[in-house]
Amino acid sequence: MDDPTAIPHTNGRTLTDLGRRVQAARAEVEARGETFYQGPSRIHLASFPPKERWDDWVELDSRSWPKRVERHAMLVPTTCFNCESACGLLAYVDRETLQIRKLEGNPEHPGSRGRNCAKGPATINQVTDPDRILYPLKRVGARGEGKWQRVSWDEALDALAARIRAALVEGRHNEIMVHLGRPGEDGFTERVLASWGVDGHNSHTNVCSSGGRTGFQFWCGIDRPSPDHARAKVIYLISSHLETGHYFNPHAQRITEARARGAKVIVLDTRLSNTATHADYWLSPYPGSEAAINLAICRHLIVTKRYDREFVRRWWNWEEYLRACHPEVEPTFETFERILAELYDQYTFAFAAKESGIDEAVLAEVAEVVADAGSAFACHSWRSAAAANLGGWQVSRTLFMIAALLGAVAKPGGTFPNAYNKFVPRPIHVPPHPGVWQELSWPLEYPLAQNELSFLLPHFLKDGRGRLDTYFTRVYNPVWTNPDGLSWMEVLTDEQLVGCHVALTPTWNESAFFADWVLPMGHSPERHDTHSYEQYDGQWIGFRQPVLRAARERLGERVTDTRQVNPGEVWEENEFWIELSWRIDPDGSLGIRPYYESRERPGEKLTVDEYYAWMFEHSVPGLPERAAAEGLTPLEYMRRYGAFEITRDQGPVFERPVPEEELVDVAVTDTGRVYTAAPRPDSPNIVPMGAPPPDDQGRRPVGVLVDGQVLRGFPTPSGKLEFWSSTLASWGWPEHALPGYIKSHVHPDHLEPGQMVLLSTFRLPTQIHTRSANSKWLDELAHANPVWIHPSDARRLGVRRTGDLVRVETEIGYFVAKAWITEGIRPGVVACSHHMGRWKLQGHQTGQHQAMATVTLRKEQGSWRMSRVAGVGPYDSSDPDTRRIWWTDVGVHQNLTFPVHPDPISGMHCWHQAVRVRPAEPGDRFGDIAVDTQRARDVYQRWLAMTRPAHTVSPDGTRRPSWLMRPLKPTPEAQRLPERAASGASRDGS
Amino acid sequence: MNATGPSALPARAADAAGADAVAARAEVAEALAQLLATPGPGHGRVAEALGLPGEPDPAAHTEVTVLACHPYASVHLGPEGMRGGEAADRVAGFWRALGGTPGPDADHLGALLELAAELARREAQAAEPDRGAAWRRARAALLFEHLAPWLVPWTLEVAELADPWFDAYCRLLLAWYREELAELAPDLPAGPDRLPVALAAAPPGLAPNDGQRLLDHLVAPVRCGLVLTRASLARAAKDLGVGLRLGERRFLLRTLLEQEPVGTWAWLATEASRWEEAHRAWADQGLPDQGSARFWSERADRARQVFEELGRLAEDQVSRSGSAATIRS
Ligand code: SF4
Repeated sequence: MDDPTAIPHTNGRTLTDLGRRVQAARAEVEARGETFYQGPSRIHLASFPPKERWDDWVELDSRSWPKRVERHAMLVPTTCFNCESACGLLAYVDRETLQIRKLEGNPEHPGSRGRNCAKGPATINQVTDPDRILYPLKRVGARGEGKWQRVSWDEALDALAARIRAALVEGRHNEIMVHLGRPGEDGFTERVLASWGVDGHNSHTNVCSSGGRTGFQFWCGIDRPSPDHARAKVIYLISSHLETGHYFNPHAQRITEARARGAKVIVLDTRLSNTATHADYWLSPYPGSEAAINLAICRHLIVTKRYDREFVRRWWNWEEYLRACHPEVEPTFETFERILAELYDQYTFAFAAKESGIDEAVLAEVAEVVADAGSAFACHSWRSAAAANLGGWQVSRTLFMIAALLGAVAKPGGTFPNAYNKFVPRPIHVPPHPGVWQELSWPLEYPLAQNELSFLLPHFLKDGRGRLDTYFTRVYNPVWTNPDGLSWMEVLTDEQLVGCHVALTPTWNESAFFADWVLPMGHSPERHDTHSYEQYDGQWIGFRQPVLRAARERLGERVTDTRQVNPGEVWEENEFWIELSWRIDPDGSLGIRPYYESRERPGEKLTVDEYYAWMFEHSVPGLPERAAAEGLTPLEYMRRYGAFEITRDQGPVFERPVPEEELVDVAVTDTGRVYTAAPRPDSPNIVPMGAPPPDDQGRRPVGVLVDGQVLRGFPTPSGKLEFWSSTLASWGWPEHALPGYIKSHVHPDHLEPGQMVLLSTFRLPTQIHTRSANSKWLDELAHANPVWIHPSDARRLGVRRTGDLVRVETEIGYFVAKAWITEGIRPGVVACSHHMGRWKLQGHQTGQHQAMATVTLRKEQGSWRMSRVAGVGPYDSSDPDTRRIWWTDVGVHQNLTFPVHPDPISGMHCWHQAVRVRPAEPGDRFGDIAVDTQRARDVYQRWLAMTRPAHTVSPDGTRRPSWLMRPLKPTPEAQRLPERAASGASRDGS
Repeated sequence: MNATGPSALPARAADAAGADAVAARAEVAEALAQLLATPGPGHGRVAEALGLPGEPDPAAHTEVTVLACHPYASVHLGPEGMRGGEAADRVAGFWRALGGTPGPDADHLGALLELAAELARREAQAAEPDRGAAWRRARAALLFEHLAPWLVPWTLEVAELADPWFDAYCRLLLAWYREELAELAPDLPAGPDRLPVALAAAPPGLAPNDGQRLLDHLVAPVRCGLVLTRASLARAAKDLGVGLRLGERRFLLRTLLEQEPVGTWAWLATEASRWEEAHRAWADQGLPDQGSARFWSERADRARQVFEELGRLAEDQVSRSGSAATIRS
């Protein structure tokens, strides 16, 4: 080398010039959606096949080592179906066998960015599970007896269509219900039911996230937070987000990035979860005291004047509050500030320390860290405490108050309302909402319930409030998932109460055993759906698709029915619902058929290809152009890449001025709510959010007047952030209209001597409810749910060693489990994950063998007893790995022993249990369960008595505030209180 | 930033320009790293952006990155000239100290260049000055401790293959390296005698009485100060007019010494001189990596002396007995 300093072949460019040139080349290539650096990255530990090579990706076959045998695969994207995160997956479809070899992350997915948790790749186990359901089955013998007959899809469809048609024709709309577990495409099932004129959508949400949602919705009219973790300075989590929380993989990777930048993570979790181990501040509060901690932080911000005064002045509905609750004072902001300080003065660190058991100094230090975050404060509370305590919804309401004080709402690193970061494309057909009201899901007692009172269904049926003719459970296992599962079993076996139970499920579960029809539905690489979730400040849609269909189409084949490519006769829901609806109304006389007709070929049935082609063409801004740049149609683009990012950096949408053309014949209330006569502009995004009602003249709410400008505001009645909820105040709960503290049902004041709190809400990171039980890799990783006991409690209770059996007694029964003595749990609290304890009845030939124990179940003197006959063990199957099962323990099904605890406001089941724990008695065996369902009825009645029913509190003669979110919104007539109830209505609740 | 006076503005502009240059250089590092990976369809585009003459010849690429010039810190700094061991652990420890997880190739030049790019980006994007300074210190440590001890010797051995594309590549790599040294100079240990830990703790240089282990030591660059590639041994055979047997490098060296001991020691001494000069020329530039350059230069000079001494011994032996004792590995 003659001159080592000269840069060759660059025409005298400096290195910086050269670097810019490379940057520009990279930007240009990436703008075309191509990959610039196609080689592996050694530092990001991510090495994705560049998309240019997805048609023929070559890998060496590891099993042929040391021989070099090349395997060629087509890489086809889909979306994981295991948890709500909807991460992107790439199916490696072998070009020779046209079978899926493995599933890995999809680097083109903006939310998950190529990463998955263990459950994503384990989808391959679910696909190849030897115990999965491959054909439609019809029960023979008595329901629950465990005998099945394989039938054709035609037979099943015709029978169900006839039943449903008869119910509709006879006006029995409320006898049809579809109950969802893992959600599929946003709004799809709701629209199916709407097209039938049925208000029969039921969800699992009231055993899941209703409590969390309620607190957010009362503030901003949108029921989910979207924390911008990646840009946050302080991340405040009331949950275990790094390993199991909502959207946890997409969030966890962004939290990790924030930590690398120096962000502080504060975790409130009574348990030492994986997340807690990564926290800068781990607070282990007494269960149910989380809102007290939040309020102490709020007070600290208020008394030290560290809140964003301007934000509070502009965006809180303080004026409305003062006018309603302090008519005697001048409604100025300064007055409000004084009253605010007085209102929250009681929530001192000493108060929070007393409630939570956490040292005052620690709370003060955490409050300082929060105060320093400014608007870069990202917070999340979803299930966890909000789903576990009476008044748990105040946990998220007080949490959002911290963000609202800091002005950290929709700011970089702050907390966004989820609707800003979610995109639900308008579909080809949108039927109107139904003209009936389903009281079994939306009973009068719970006018403010965030979601359907799903877990009370057995009790409502037993009360005689109605019956179900046709009840679908869809990827849902109510017997196992809900509290008081044996009451579910009682009603599912009673054909008077449930005429026909149809289980739409990919795999056997405890509820499917009590079905009349078991219809096999596909896993993530076997079905269509679109998804969009709030995972950062941007909007994306992901596409789930039957990957073998897409692969065959790439090879030029034409596939018209997903069953042609799925294993056995496994179907997908979209085609199933279209076909079923078509058969319910073959001649269109019920008005259902038009919603399933093709637009391209009038009179013919809609196909999923047309359904998605229309959606991607008309309702996803930017996608048609992006696809065209690659010479693809929008549908081809989504089939090829599986995801598309629509926007980034939405920012504070509420601050956007309302355009002039939307301001016609405007009316403004004295608190600044602005109404317009201009029609709502069409939006391709139909993301759900609150829908404040029109004014007396029928004008729609369009914005809010702030400092003389009409801004978009929030979808709340006031248009502002509702510090004071006029809804809570006018619907019977004025004492809880402000963010505050409600003592939990497991508050020490409410425990009897000797009782402890059982924390039952946590997941295991490598399992997901009942859906993952047919993943052999996951089962090997996690298959037990011991009871966490602190060493001091173990000593006190006489539990000597980890592994000793303990009896945990709830209000309605007990379960026998193994103890795990650990300092990872707070003294005085025990914990048991709800993820394990699967079972199948002895004598049933069907079921899952890797994670389901075999049990006997009998009723003696009104009390149910479950005993474990056998754990799991090796068995012969088409998969040689099933001979290698080395574990026998599959945990204990604790939920059976929990009575229902519906929160009187949010309707959320309050999961925590007051229990007594003691060493097992002689004769107790691992997995034993005893439940008295009559006592379960008594507990139900007791909690029901805490409600303030609509007919006693409704201020306007309706069943429920119409602005609150609801999957289906029955017509105004159906929303009115029924005659009988309305005439009995009185303010004193008599 | 609170500074509002007029004097604050130029400084901010300079900071921004500096950050821009750092980011641009990071891009060069990343592109150079990518080109060390197995050639794929994207290589041409990256090479073109870097102004390199077309794509590398696949055989030359394999020769440089797989067969001849192993681009691993451990091969150059380890006591046996092999991958792994303490030299690799030292690099892995650095990754861990940064909070990263070292992969199996953590001490590969491509990985280190990518890491340099990542650290530079983090510095450029750091929201707080303290974090930026911390990333900058990490960059300086990476450069001084993990690249400076062996990057220049690696480019010298690549030069041996005389492949025009890789010549251009190495010039670019060295240009990047020089600019990094210049920019990070204030953060690097000062003084010509400051050595990276890998060199300060290096095994001893060659000794005439290494005996049976001498051949092992000849293929451990950190001991002898020069890198004997297959290509250079092929040149030796050609220069000496002796046969080139097939085998690994120690075997080749042994068979050269068996066939023509005096000439082979003389050839090795000349080779060591050549390397010593190259290292010295580098040291004379007075860059902050001077300590490393001097180390290599002294090792090569020491090797020359040993080779000359062994050559004299061989010559004596030949003149006494008509044949020289061979060294067996
Ligand atoms: S289960 Fe794991 S991979 Fe699948 S969506 Fe959830 S976080 Fe993503």
